[in-house]
Amino acid sequence: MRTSICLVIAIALIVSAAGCARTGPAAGTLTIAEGLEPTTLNPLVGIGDTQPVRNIAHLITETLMYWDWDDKAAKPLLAESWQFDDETTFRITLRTDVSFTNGEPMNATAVKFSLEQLWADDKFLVITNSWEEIVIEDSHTVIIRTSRPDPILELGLAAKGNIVPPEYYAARGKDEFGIAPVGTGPYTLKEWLKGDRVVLTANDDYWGDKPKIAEVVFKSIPEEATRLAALENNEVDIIGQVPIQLGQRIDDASSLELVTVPGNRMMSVRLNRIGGKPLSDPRVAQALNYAVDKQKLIDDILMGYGKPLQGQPVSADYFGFNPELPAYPYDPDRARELMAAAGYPDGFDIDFEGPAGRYPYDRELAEAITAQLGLVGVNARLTTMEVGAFFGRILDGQVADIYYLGDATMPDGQFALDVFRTGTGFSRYANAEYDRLVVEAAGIVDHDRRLAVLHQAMETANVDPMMIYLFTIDEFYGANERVQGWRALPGGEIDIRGASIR
Amino acid sequence: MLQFIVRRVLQTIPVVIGITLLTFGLLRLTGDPAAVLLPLDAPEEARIQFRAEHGLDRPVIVQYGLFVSRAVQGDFGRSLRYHEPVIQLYMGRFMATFQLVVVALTLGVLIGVILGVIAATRRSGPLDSLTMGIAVAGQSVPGFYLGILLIITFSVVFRILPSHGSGTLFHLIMPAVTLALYPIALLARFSRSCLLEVLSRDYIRTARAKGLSSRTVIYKHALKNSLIPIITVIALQLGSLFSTAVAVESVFAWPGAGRLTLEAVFTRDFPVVQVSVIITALVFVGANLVGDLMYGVVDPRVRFE
Repeated sequence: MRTSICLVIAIALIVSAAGCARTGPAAGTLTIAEGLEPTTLNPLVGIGDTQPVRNIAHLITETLMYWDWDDKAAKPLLAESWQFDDETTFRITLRTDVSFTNGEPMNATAVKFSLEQLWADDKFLVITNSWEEIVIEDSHTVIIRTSRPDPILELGLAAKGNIVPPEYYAARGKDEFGIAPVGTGPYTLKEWLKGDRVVLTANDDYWGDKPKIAEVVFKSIPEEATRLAALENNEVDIIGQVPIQLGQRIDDASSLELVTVPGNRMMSVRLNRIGGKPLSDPRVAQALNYAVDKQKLIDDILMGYGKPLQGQPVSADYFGFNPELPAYPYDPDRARELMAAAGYPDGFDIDFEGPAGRYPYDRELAEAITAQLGLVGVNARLTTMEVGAFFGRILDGQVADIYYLGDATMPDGQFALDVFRTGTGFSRYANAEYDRLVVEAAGIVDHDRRLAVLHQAMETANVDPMMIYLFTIDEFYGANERVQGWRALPGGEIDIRGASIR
Repeated sequence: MLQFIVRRVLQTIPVVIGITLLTFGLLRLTGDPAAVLLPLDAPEEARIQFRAEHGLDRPVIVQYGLFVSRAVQGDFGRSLRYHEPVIQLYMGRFMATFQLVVVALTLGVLIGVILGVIAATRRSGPLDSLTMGIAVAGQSVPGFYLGILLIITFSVVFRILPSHGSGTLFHLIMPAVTLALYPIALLARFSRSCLLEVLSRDYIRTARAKGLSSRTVIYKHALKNSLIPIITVIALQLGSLFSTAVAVESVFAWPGAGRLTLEAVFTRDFPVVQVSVIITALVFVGANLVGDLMYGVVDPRVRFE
């Protein structure tokens, strides 16, 4: 009996030691863990248009240009250069030295084919609604003709215009391409074990800077605590979607690095400015902005990880951001003054709705805002609900007069501003001057002139607010210090093209 | 016996139909998938196209009719997110869940029954209190929480087990143990009380009076008879483990059908949720049936009703 117990213990120890050696990725392999698993690897279908998919898909299939967040401009990738021949003619000159990994050449035919896939899907209407014609001028020149001057062409192409090999794509179809994509990128797909991992291997014939990491593995670990444990256990190298409350643990760990990026989602309390008094009065809208102490919300609830909005519907990372506009300071006295001037010296009652569990601390923030509004006499009755139901109410137009929402779009002010034009979608704002400026900016292709008009539009939105401007919430990533040269960009983008492992 | 089987199988049909009706209706009451799957600022045309593509713009009755007519041919629709036939998607992950559930159930039976026997035979002693204490704790601790505790202990602090995923025996240990905890606890308590109940019967007293050793009395006579209700409980556990697996799979990122279902619920991927509920219901019903049949096999008195 005793010997058999000893034997069992010995075996258990040996077996666990073997398990010990198993944890820890091999050199030359980078493992990234996010929360959601990709549903497809084809970025040209609307369902594939999510950041976890793009993080993987953009390593395999590249776009004509990429967006430089610092300069707020598109930079060359598969396209060597581009220009507006005139306001509605966009000429793209392609690189001549690029082929797809299956041998097909990357040329004007491939580009036209790929852009047509985008065009055919209604989910990309936001980008393609101005497109009229795609013309192949020669083997490496493509011209996009638009029905009106479209200033977001470059951004749209940089964000969504992935180029795919036409013969392969046409033969396989979009669903199969989503399982076995082929492109020009620095990595190719080695295997995809659904529900478990996507494995990419380096493309040694890549036309650009050769990738320094041999293999990249993308895993999806839905439970945040488990994701963090995997990082601490050296099973993964980079994790995304780290909740704020776990940030400290990564920061304290000696071999781990906490990376914070300003978020691209503007949190706000949307106001119904067309539902009659009191909200239709701009003084009341301003008063509500003065009544909320954004910095306190950031410090107390978000542990300091946020940046207040500067009195406009976009954050500093968006093209069109007006740096001259001040954030609404916390000034409850001014709030009460304005409400009195508008005829509400004793405040008023109002319904307030918000999602629970959709954004970080959404319920807590909504509750805190309710309390802050209460201090100036605005008695908000808060209801938080599950996000599907909440979005349904917004789309049906049944949502309360004020509601908590976050909005993230491609980094150009036009998208954020356009939703508030009178009568658009679920806009509850009607400012003629604002409409005029937004429409004007949407038709100017010249960067500087357009920026000036966008600045004016931001100013209009500042003095006649359609929302309580709150903040952006920082995004967190955890990384093992051995990974160098990678970047996190606003919106959940993980860029490992230049990464290496020490 | 055959009559018994046929009768029970026929009884399951209205159950399954009722479940599909219920799932179908309830799902569609919860809101529009287009609202969750497409971004809020997606153009209305995109939403319309999406609904048309997936047949969500027809009246619910029509949708149900179409669903049933396709389902009997084996076509349960396509996932709204994966664009893959749902049956293929679900069954592809099913084996992983099945593996986890079977291991957990085996652990539950082995450890649970053994603990129960120990407790019953050393009744009122310290061992009895200890095993029953463990059992109560096991039934009270939320599996989700236990899973995370195990991960922190064995992956982060001791670094001897992988924290997530599947592929090797090491990956299986923690999720299986987490899932097994409830059946272990339940079976420990249940088998203890079953055994005690049998031990108090007259025929056991007769056996002891005959001079049979304690060991023979317990293992040869008492335990065999107490297994009858235990077997039924084990069969029922199979079904319930399938549903508990959802939480455990999410915590351990186990690539099974449970995790797929959870994600489908949150993203309103109706076809996936439907198939998942139907198959889980079938598992429950099937396990129930097997339990009843085994009961009939083991206890001849039941057969001749």
